[in-house]
Amino acid sequence: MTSSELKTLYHTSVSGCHRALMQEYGRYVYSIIFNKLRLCGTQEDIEECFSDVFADIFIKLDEDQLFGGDVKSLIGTVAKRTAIDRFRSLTAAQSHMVSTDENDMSELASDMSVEAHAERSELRRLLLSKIEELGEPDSTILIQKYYYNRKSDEIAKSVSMTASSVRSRCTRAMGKLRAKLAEIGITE
Amino acid sequence: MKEREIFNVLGNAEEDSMEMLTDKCPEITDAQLDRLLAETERKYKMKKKDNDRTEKDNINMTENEVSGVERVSRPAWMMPLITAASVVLLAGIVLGSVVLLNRHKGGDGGGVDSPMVTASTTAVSETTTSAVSTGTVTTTGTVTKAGASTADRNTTNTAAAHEAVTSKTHAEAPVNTTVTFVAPDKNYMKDDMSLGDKAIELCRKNDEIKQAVLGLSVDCDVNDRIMFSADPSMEWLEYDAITQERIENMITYCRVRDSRFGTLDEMKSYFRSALTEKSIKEMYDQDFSARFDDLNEMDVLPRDRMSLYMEYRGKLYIMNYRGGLGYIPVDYPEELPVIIAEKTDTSFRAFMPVWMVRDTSKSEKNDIQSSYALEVKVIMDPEYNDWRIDELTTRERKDYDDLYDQFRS
Repeated sequence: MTSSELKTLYHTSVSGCHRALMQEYGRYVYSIIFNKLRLCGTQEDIEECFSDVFADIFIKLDEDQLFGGDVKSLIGTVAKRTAIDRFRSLTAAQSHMVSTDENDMSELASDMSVEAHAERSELRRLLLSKIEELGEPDSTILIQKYYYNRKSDEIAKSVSMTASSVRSRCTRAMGKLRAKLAEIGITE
Repeated sequence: MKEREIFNVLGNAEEDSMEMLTDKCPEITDAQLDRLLAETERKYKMKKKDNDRTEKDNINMTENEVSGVERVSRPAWMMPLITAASVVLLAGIVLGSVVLLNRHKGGDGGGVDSPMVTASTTAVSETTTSAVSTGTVTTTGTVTKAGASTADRNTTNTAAAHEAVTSKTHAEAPVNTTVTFVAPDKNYMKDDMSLGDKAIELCRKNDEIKQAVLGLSVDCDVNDRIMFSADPSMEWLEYDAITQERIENMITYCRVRDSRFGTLDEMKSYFRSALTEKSIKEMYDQDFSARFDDLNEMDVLPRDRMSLYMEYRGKLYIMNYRGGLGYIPVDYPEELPVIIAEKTDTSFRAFMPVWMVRDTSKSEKNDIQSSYALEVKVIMDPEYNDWRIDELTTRERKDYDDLYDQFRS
């Protein structure tokens, strides 16, 4: 949706515009939030964050802040920032906070080194490329099952299969993925 | 699980990785979208209101300073308003919860009998939930507003469509609380535990009957079903009980697999286990012959023939969509006696207080606003040679309390 299309829709019907925005970018926003909160938040936290993101976007719409540039990019930014804020509040109990005035500050190591960060990033890319190599519907089944935590009967609807077929394909696909990862030296 | 640990690596992904994850993200269903949009609109309106207020109060922020007036909302007025609304709500529930208003005027003609059972809604506004599992389904619910847009998928049918299912054009049964309470003669009042227990037993049975008439707590088999086409003007919408898929303009009936009844005749017998013929006619319906054998599956089911239950080719079915129908459980006294009056060999009257249980984890027995009274006329039914409820009248709680004071004085 371009910003001019958005503007036209907004002036036609505000509620219609809201719905269209959510329909167009809902999955995008959800995937950003889920990526941040899947390990520290519940489904309710994720949906609450989702609503917060779109509420902010609707406010920006009223303030003419969405019509000037790349709509998707702006929405993505709002989603990331909101998700990070929510991540921080959910993990506040485990966060490491020190005052910058303390003398020991300069000696404090971060939770994860730059090297470890880069390594994880590379691992992520490799994993996704190997999943992609499995083709459809196996790649979708694996991501929805083990990343998005969906049940087999829910996945079955997405890929037009039965739940039992999803389960058996999932098992075979996981076996293939392990083999592919082992080939490049990645084992559990 | 090890598989999930592998995929945990995907958290905090970069832009290019996010592209694939977004591509594989599950679709947001229409029901989810409606729910999320409703919540978002609510938050949006609150934020907008706060923003407008901030602007109005000239709140200005610079790097080092904030000036203006900060308002703090004080909801002190909320409590009296909520209390008043609750009283109105409970008054509505008391009036409507005992008697279900269904009377037929004339038959349908064409060799087809009128529906046996219909159910009316009471217009109150708590959220409803229904528990559905694959295979055998038992549904429970709380009272909800007909046609209300809630998170429950079953409330998406129009109010007019809902009306077609839940009530017919009948003359309204008399509202019992308008019949003036006449206290029995004090000399004929007694505390008879045996009869008191019997009266409560029959009332509890009647409560189960009420739930069954509303389609609540009735076991049915969602795998054994028949479908008819809906009148297009109704814009009928259902969600498949197993797959949760959206189904438009189709009406689904599921086979009743309840230990209490499996046919209309059995249902009548079940009613008669607590009620006389007369009280059944007054409280529920006088006709027990809803058979749709003239229709074939997928035929259009006319709006005026839709009912909650139907017997089709010798089997009893219940409508899959039962949104908007509900029941608030009640509880009966242990500490206060059932007052028995006008006892003869073949009849007696029982007076008892009743509590409404909004929170099933506790009974609000000390909450006078949740309590009312029942006046029950019980007779010896010659067909069964056993006691049955012949009349059931709701009263104000104070009627029982006044009677109790007289009884004890």
